[in-house]
Amino acid sequence: MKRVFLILFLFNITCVLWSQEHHEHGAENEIKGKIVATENGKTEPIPGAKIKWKSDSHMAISGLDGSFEIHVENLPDTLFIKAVGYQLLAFEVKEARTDLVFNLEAGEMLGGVEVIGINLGKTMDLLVPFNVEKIGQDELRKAACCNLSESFETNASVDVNMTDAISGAKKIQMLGLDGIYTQIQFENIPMVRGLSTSYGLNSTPGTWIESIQITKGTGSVVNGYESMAGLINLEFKQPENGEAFYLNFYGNKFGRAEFNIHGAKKVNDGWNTMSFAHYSGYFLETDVNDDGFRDFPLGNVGALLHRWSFAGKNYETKFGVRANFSDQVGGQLGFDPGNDAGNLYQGIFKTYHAEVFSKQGFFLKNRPAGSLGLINQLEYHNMYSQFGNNVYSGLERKYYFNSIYSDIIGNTNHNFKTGLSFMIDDYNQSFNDSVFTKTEIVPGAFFEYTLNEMDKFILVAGVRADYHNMYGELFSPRMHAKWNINPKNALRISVGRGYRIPNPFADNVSYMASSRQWIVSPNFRPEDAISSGITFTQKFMIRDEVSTISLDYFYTHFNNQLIIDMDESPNQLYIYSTSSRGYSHSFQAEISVKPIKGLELRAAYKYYDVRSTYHGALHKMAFVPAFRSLFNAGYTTRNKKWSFDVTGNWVGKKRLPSTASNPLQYQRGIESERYWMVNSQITYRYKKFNFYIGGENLLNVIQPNAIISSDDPFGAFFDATQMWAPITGYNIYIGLHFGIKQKSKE
Amino acid sequence: MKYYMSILALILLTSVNTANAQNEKTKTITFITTAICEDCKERIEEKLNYTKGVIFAELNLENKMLTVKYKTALITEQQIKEVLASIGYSSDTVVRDKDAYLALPKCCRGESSCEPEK
Repeated sequence: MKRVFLILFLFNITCVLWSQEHHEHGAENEIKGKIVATENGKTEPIPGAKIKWKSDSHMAISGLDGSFEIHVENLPDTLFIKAVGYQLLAFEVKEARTDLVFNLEAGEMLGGVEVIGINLGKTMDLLVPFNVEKIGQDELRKAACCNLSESFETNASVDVNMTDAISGAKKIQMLGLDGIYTQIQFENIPMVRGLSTSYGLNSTPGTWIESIQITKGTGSVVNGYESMAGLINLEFKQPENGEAFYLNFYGNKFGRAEFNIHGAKKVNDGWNTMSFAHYSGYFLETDVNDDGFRDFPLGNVGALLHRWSFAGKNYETKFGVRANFSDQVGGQLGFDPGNDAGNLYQGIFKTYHAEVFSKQGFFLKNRPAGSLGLINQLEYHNMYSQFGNNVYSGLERKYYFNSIYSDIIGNTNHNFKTGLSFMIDDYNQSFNDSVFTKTEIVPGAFFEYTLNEMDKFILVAGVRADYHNMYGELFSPRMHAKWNINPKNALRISVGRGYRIPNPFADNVSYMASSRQWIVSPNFRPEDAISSGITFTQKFMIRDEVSTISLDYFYTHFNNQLIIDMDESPNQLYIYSTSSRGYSHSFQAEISVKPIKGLELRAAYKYYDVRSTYHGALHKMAFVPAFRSLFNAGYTTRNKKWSFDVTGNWVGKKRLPSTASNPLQYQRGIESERYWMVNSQITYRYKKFNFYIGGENLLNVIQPNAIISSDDPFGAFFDATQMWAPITGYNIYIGLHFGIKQKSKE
Repeated sequence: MKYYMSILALILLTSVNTANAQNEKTKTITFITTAICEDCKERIEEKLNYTKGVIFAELNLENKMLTVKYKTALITEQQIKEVLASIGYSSDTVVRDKDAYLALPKCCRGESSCEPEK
């Protein structure tokens, strides 16, 4: 019975009064005191306040004059005081006294005993059933560059790699699997999919992002069938609490300049608006590795976001428009599209993207826990990419709709969400002489049930069915469970099925940076995988600060996979569907400690075993290292003026596709080398300004002879896609942020 | 030789003086405040961290105690608490400035929840 009291009190602040207990013990084991509060300058006694030790279940209640007595077994111990209308207060009491006065208004204990705050740690994330890691503003600022593809530098769960040596695009990897298997959304609205897959990460500015939530394994059925390795959800800054005015400048050694500006405004009661603008580009031609090719494409990139939110009593809505464009020229030094004699390797990258989105929430009057959410998105995307003689262009028009009705069954222990979704996605693509068109029409429905046992055990079980006009039924059931064995840890299990409709050209644009002949099978099945995982997170206290250890293991099994085969021949690229064996084992161990105030140390170790069947045999996936580790140290001075950050990424050996049939000078190894990627940044804050200077790849790691046949780019052996390490050497950058917060509501 | 000795003496003298300057007394105090939420913490820390003489100011939101480390030659405990009062927060011995307090947003006056929306 006493254990139940202890659990009830700790998890439920407004606990029910069971009985008063009064102990007559020796004076040295008794704490006596008074509960008072100061209001409008007058100090009054507070009767009926509940007083309890952390280590004991007995509770005392303050009398009419505010006085109380409570027995204590062992000191020091934590004393909890809760009175109606005041926050729960916790005090560490070191010695038994009979003259203590607790002032609830000031949260102060008077009586000569030292008060030490008890940091209960951020336990909120131990309560969520999904394995979600959150990257907030502080984390994003540690490595200040620049767009979404560069926002995962200090995070162990997402690996970032360059795609090819010509376009400058980056892609992510989760669980050892390519970024295309990770579903990316902003505020639960799809992004970086379809034609946006290749450059979508690069065209989302980092300064627009409020936070990033990363889920490993499959996500909730509410978001669709597309997450297999993971789900990344961005929150852009919101009009309600975004900066009133914000400015950012960035410049680096390679001639890259970035400029960001945004501002939010409250228009009237309920309506808020925010506008964002971004402009960036590379303005210097550099060739650090001396291969005759520009390290980064020259040209400019722009982006705009304009959004509104309205919050009323029973209705709220967020809507806006987002657009971006890029117009870049890469390839060999000196190449100019306006003056193209045809003898220099061409690199032309143009993208035009515009979309309109809206989210609406209705709160039902007769069902207090019920709500209906509607999401609408209309998207237009036009792109042109030229790599030498490979020319690709694509046009996509998409409409997406999702509805979510959410309610409880009986009481808040049982929740459900159900809804209907619809997508129509029209593609018009051409690659060299061939034209490919398709229109996908996918209606879908889902139902998800959540069981919540006092937040200690949560089970989320969802089923989803979509009907694809080209591929038929797609069933994607998912289950996530979380159990807090004790308040300081969490065990999570997830199992789910996910699908991906392959777009052989749009997903693989970067492979066009080669002379390989493309042999693409005309028939595909949807990629289909079952991903399961187990995660264990343990929090522990070191001197009032929370430290975390987390271990996870994920196994993803492909029922059907699209193979990008570079192994059959170094001069060809085969793309085909297979239902032969393909899987990924991913193991990650991560520890984060805060040994002294202001210092955070993090280390993560990852092991991947990713294999697919290529023409009859199971092979390790190329470009995926078996071992990777991440080390990060961040220190901020107590006055918050200076921050220092160092990150080291150790990347193990990767299998490389065979180049044995090439002429000798165009052959490469079958295995890459291990390397360390070291980044560092120093930030200085002065009032509303934030100055930073940093370096990337400080050990100046450069993949030797990265571009195969760079001396003969129009020859049969040219290949700029075999990237396994940085190719541009070290980088130095500087920048500044300036931000003014909105005045809070009066 | 004499020339060399006087240069050395000059260097020693200046280094002793700078060492003395760095041995200036610093003090760390902790006291209760009427801060309530994250917004209050930011206001208090931003004001005090840029006040001359303050080495750092840190508010613990769990128990509303403010820790300040400062150079005793440049500022006093009383002055620190007066700076705090000037932005609308009381400490254990100095009462907040009424006008500054009324200019604070509602949640910092305890009149509405400090929880962020959504």
